[in-house]
Amino acid sequence: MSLKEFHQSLQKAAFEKGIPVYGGFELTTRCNLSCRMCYVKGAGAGKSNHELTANQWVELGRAARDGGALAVFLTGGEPLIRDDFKEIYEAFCRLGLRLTLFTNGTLINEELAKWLSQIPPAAVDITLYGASETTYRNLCGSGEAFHKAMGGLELLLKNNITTRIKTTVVRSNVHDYQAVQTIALSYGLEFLPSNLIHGNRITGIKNINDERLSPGEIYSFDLANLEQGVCSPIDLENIKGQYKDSPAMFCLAGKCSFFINWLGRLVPCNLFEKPYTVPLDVGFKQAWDLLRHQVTQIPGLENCKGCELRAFCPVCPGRLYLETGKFDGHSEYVCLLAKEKERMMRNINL
Amino acid sequence: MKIKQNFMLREIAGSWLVVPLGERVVDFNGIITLSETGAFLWEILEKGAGVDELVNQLLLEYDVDETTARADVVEFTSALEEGALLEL
Repeated sequence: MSLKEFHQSLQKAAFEKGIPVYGGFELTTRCNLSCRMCYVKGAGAGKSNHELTANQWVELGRAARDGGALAVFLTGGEPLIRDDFKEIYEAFCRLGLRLTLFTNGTLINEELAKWLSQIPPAAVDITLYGASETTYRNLCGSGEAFHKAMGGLELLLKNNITTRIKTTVVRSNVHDYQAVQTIALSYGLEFLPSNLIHGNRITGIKNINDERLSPGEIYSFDLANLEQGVCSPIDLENIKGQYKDSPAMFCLAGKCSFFINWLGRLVPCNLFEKPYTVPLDVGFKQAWDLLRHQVTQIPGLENCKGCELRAFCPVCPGRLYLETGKFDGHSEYVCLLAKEKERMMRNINL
Repeated sequence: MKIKQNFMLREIAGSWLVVPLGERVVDFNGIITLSETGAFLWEILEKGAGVDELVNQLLLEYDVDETTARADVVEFTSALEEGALLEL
């Protein structure tokens, strides 16, 4: 059985049984960059004294493992900014989890890469925010960070650490998209672009409107994926109607995946500030069971009821909350995303 | 025969799997999936056992004849050897 087949089978079983096999741990909201579209910025940024201790994170990791967690990621902010990152990481490495580290790569030096190579994660995902000093300066507040990120990437590869390249495509770096992809390809690395940014967890969308791409632009980057989904015009009509009566929470979040934010709150995924439970207070199992119940109480998407474009739509209560301040609000931007995706698929079919 | 150090056998959502720990990821960056019988043998091999002992344990636990049990044990331990997962 391939790893992909295994994960498909595990995901199905975990979804049906409500076992939290996938998870994310937001070790901090602090970051050495200041990206214009950051969805975490403002959530206690710079207040390390409110963060959980290393021992608390390890306790949460162990409890999540005991609850069934298998594939988890460590993220931030920038997780490597924590002075005690090594302590947390080394303990997580011995829990029996398949670990991925999310980082901007700029804090990886010779010593850190060598240490990481001795107890490597399954993968390190480096997000490149552009392919030049100028882009990094405009988007992330530091031109030097581009060279540091590239240096970090090369150190990981020199130390044989499995690495993937991510990028977040926004207005300020859209011109670098091909160049970032070329960087990934030149190193023979998996490339994971993301062009669907969501609002900041504290301020919503008001600070990202200048940065996010229009729905048409977004799907021009998604063509490769859309082409994989090419189907006949008849199938397209059939797909259109599918999922129109789907439940509000349509994904794995709160069913078999979880996120623990920097305050130690268990939430369905990184888009959510609420509902939440507190595993350090009531234990992970009880917190997970309670969260699963709370997820079922999230109101249905009344505005989307019967919409034939649900099959093409990235709508979810978390995204709508960040867009509108309500789990079931109406977002013209999200509706346009669905319309544009359906239009793109139709054009591919022609 | 004994399973090398720094592997953890886990049962998740009805599946048995083995995850490498810490420095073991350097030479094994993946997951091993096991059948229930494989997990049973793995647990014994964590403490160390020879082929005869594994066969005997299988006969005690499962409704199986000795020829089949021995063939299964040999196949299983050979696969572990090939994967460099055993200390001989």
